[in-house]
Amino acid sequence: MGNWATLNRPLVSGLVVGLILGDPVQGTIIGANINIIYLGIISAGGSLPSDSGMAGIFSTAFALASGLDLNTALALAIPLGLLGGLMNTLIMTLQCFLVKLADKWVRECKANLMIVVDLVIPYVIKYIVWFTMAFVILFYGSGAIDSIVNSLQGPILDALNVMGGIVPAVGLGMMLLVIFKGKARYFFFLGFLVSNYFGLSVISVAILFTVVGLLVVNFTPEDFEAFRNVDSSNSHQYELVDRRTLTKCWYMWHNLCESMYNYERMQGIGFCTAIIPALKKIYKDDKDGMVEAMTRHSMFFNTDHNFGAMIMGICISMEEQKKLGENIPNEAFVSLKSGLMGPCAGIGDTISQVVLIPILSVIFINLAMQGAVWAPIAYAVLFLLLFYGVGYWMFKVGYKNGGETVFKIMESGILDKVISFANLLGCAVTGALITNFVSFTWNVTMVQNEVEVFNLQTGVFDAILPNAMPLVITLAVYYANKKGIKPTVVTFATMAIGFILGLLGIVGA
Amino acid sequence: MKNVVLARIDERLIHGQVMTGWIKMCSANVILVIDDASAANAFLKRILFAAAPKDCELLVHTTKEAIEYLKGESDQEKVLVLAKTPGPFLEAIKEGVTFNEINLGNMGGGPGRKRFNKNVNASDEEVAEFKAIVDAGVPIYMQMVPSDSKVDIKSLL
Repeated sequence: MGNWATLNRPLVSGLVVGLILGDPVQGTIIGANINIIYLGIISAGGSLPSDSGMAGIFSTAFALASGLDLNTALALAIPLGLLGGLMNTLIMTLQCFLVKLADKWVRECKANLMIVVDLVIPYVIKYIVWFTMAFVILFYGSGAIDSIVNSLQGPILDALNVMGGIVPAVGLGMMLLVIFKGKARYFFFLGFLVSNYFGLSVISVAILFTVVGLLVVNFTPEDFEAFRNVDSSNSHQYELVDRRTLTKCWYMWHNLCESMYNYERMQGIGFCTAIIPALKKIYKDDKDGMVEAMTRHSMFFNTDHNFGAMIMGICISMEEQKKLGENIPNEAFVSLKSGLMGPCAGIGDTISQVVLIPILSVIFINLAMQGAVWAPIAYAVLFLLLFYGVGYWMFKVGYKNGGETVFKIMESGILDKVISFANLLGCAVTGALITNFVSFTWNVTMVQNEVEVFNLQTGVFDAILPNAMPLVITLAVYYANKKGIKPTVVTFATMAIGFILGLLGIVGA
Repeated sequence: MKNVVLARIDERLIHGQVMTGWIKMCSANVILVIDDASAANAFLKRILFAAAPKDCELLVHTTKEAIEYLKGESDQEKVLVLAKTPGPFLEAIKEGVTFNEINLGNMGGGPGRKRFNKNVNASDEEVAEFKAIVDAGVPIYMQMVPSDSKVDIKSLL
């Protein structure tokens, strides 16, 4: 859903909460900082370890309402995100019970009621759950937070600041988990070094390494061959379904596919609800055909919203051919859908969550941290355009030529080139982000006769490699995750280490 | 015997969780899909080949072919084995293939299937197959993505 790319991102929700509470600039800055922790979060196929949406909304709200400083807001975001993850599991479990009702209405051919079970009831459930939680958190939480804030002074506040300084390393380390491989690894260190030694900003590094990346990956005209063939295969006669109905189906798919997301059918009921406008045109005088079609399209289904839109396009054209007399058995739909949903999700999740979201958000986060209120808006608009555009194109290609074009693109190897380009650029930018957003300063000095004779930070680290510690911490997070230690454990361990070092005064704020 | 780095039951075979998580986690260089239907269907096979990452070798085999392959001599292969249901794994175990453990990803709901746990739905026969695998000494752990914690299904059987 569009939400996943927009409101779910603390970058965007920070601005929205800021607007509501009357301080959009501060809201944007806090949201952007929280977003860094969630750069590496990937939600593939219904797995969501931590909910960045919840973290962004509530900690920005607390920070603005209680006047928390940035580092405390960051510390608060992590447990809130975990709580959000739990709530999602609860909602996906609760929604399994709705499947029975949906099946009943499918059997009774109540096509118009499907929207109730797919959209209305789930949203009522969600609003109740979220509203109760928001009420409890804000009602009981803000008092508690106020008293905590009032008691925060001296060493505890310093310790929190140290902790806030290294927490971004958690997000960056997790992001590396996905992109730190092969040649791209060198570019991680290059990005780190150029930003470190020459003081280049994240944006400069991003632009610089876009050029370098294009050079290294070496796109050739042949790579784009598959795209060029699209136009020639683009003639189609609309038979039973008109263009308007198709657009409606795609739009419903895009927005409803996960409104009743549940562990039993995943997007199954959403798929059925979205394809109904087309089925109603195709089977308008054929109740049995309609029930059969609704039944086969409410089965277990789970794929990427944008890439996977192609599958619905193909299904609609197959339904049309079936009604027009072609012999297409039920199994053909089942094997097509179950064969395509995985691969489409594999490529779609990689392109959107590994390539597009982290890299583009990094650029906008960087702008937003400097208080640019327009950055979250530009980010949201860009993503909606991209996702809606790609999804609509895929849907149409699926309907018109059975996905042939898309298979050609997948087989051409261009996507692998795009992914290696993204890995390279992502690595370089992550390197630069470490320099700019992870902070760690040793506070170890030796004083003789009131003269400082030794300073670990300025005398050793800064002299050889400034920001060496942020680099080490980020890589440590990466290796800990790679070794299979749970992200939650890694996150809390990093926070605890920061807090303790700060409390001991070994590390300065 | 081939070196199996991950054996996974997943209804959707190669998809987002496998592409963005597991392949990287276990650094596999061969993906072996055991699915009689896909092996026999040129269209399904083509989709799988189109989707698989290009730096991995992909094999789409029937259960019989897969067992033969797994029993073959090990070279540099690090094999990620995927099947939609527990059936193929049980058959392989019966034929003498060894797995250290089996990872249980996703199985969707449908006719004849009941909710087993969270995102896993299974028919009575499939539950019996889980049990037979566990009884044969191969533990099965539910874990959707590498960052989830492992849940031993023994207590759920």
